Amino acid sequence: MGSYQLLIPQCTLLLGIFILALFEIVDRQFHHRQGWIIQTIALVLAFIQQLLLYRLPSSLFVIGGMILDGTTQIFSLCVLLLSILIQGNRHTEKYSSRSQTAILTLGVTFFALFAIQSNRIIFSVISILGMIWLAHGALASETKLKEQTNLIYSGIIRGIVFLVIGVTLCILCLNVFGESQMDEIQRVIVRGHIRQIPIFAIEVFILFLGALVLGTPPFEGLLGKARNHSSWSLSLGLTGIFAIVGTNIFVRWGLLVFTRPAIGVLELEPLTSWNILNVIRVIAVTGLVLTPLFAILNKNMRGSFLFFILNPFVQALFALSFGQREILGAAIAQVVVAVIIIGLLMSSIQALEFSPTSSLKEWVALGRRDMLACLSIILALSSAAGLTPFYGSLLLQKTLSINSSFGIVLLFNIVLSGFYVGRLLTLAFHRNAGESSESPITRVQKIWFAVQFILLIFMGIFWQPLYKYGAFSIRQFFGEV
Amino acid sequence: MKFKTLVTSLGLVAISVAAFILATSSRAPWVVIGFLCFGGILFFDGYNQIPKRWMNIILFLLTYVLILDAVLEGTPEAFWRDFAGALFFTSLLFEQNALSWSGFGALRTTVTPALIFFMLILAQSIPALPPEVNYGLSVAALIISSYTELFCIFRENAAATVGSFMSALRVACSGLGCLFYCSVFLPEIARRAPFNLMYVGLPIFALLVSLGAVFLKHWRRRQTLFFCNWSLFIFWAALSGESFRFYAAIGALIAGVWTIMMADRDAANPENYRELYLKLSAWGVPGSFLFTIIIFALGPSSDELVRQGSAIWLLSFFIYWSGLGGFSFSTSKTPNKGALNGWHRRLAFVVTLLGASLIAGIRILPEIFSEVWAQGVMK
Repeated sequence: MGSYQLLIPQCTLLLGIFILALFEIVDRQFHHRQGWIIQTIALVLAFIQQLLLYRLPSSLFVIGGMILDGTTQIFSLCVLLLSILIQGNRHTEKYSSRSQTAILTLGVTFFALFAIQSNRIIFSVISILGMIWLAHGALASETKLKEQTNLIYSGIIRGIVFLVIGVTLCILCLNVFGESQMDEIQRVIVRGHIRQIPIFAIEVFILFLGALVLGTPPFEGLLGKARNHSSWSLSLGLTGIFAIVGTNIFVRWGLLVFTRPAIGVLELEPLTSWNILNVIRVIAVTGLVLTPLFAILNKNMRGSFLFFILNPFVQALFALSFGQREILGAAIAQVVVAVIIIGLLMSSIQALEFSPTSSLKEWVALGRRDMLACLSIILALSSAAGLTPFYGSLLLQKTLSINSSFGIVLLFNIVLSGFYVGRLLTLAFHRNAGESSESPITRVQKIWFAVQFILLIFMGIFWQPLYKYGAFSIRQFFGEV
Repeated sequence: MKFKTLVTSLGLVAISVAAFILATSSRAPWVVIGFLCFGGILFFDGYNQIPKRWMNIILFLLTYVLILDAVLEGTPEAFWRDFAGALFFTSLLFEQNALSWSGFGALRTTVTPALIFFMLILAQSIPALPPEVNYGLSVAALIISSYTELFCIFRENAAATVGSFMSALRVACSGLGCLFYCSVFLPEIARRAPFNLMYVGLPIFALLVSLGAVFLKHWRRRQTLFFCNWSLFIFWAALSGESFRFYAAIGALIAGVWTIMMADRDAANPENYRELYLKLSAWGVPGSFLFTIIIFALGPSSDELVRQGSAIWLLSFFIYWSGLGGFSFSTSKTPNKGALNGWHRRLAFVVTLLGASLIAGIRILPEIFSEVWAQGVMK
């Protein structure tokens, strides 16, 4: 059993890209449904393969170029699940006929898996660079022709900036540790006798890159305004994929490298004089305040949703910053829930046929016209806010149970998030819909909403399996598996 | 519609059976109480509000799942979380079924109390807080849950929600939550000073609300406040610590929920004595099911504060009854059929009459009741 087996899902995705590209080259007029089916098969197959890789002993692969421990596995599955959900929603979109979009989105998934599973920082940086360029390409393919050049240019610049920072980080790592491999870096730090200033610089770079990729406010994320005119599924979905990769950077490059399990307690202790846990907490606290605040201040529905879907990730990041094993497990599980939230949000918004430039005015009385889709959006946002009975409320309770004065900020986050959800909910129902128009939602879509909606609620009520799965994923790090 | 009603009923029964099987022997009675409340809401839903939409059915059943889950939980944190979830869904149902109203106001939506409730239960998770503060937060949360509808009373058509299944659902959720909390998780400090002052404090609060209700022009809005006070009455009765009063509180919960659903929402027609009787009995006037429960709950007590509280409660109810003079009657010459159909109305009449006659039962068979009560006290 060799480490090449870890690459099976990536190989499947690559094969999918190859077939799509072949179709594009050989027959430019091939039916767009064929492309959609090929892409879906590739993604579902990769998801199943990734799921089956859980059977492999993770200890085999931690040392080397790739990682497949529990956390990596969960994040990889999240990326693939989100890609499938994007793909599912693209079924009825007018843009879904563009084969180049299919190739580019499949490429984003392919690179996202590499970015998560790579044990070497340099490989991850290159993979994220690939993600940025391909994501910009995919988003540009769905916008007007005259804007495409600007978007591509913006993507290239953002990618190059990211590459420069990433390469600088790698050079620093090579200079200080003689290696950009994460487990090796940790080993060198544990041995000690290293000057703290370069390590401090490396930590700053890592945290900056993590925040940048995750897109936590005040950063706008690596995609920025490129998401303004594309389809809903692609703009929300790609934001989600970048957020997962960003969370992975915080966990794998930050937490698990610069901390270790303390002896006798189930907590992480910092390995450097500069406590990385505290710095992550400060970043998370900023995000906890700014994420719902920006969502409230944004009158454009898309801009508002793009900020608010990051809320569960920021809450998870805040929980991770305490470095307690129980909370770590709950926070990792929150990422899985966030994927379902984005999926539900994508499908319900798309069913309502919201334009990319929709404002709050168009939201008013929407619940009277399309109750199911509107309630799906509200419940997805409630879940993102961490309200009960959704899973996020459990994470909030567990995080608040840690004796820290930072808990006040989490309560403040709930106040703002609650206000945001409450405002949308009230606006959706407080007036009658002017003209009764026929609902564009089909029966299949209604069933699809119901499935996701029930799943989201049941994840909150019967949270134990999800929580145990999350806890199991980080147990290996604490040396119990 | 019949198909939807059948699906809802089957769902309700299936959830109840599953909960009953999963419940331990000490929790099984709570499942029965929950079933009586929610089953009553569905059974007496003469206006067919629940089966009107699939979303109503789904959210109604999910609320039931959550409240049953709450009373089956082993830890207070989990109980509060499920309870808050049930309250959130209730407020969601309220918003989606309420009539349209103008403008946006955070203080005019039922979502706000649900969010305040959630904040209060989250704050209890902070370990640095002393038990006194924690208990204070719990009480504040329960009072908020009792007065959820107070937040939407100033909407221009808030009166239309009186007697709706949303009101009954809110009373069922908050009542069941209050009773369960008082029975299982009530801390010892609740019975000591200064918290024992709540035996008087809660009735005084209710008295102030009833005095405020006097200034409301529309009788339906006053009734909304009456039902809010009724929820607080349940909490007070459960809090007093006496077993017989606790059983009376359980009766008050079931009677309250059923009565809300049995009250006819149309203007009263003096020619229709059944309708008038049902309408008056929704205010707990003497001769109604609610009045019987009031007598049970305000029974004699050895605690001075509870006695004072009982007197204030009675005063508060009198204030509501005194406002019944301004009752508006239907001017239509044709008999008002109302939206409650025939068998619903007849059944409601019989149930209310039987409930009212319970008071006579005390006079006729005092030994049976005293025996039951004595057993309760001994436990």
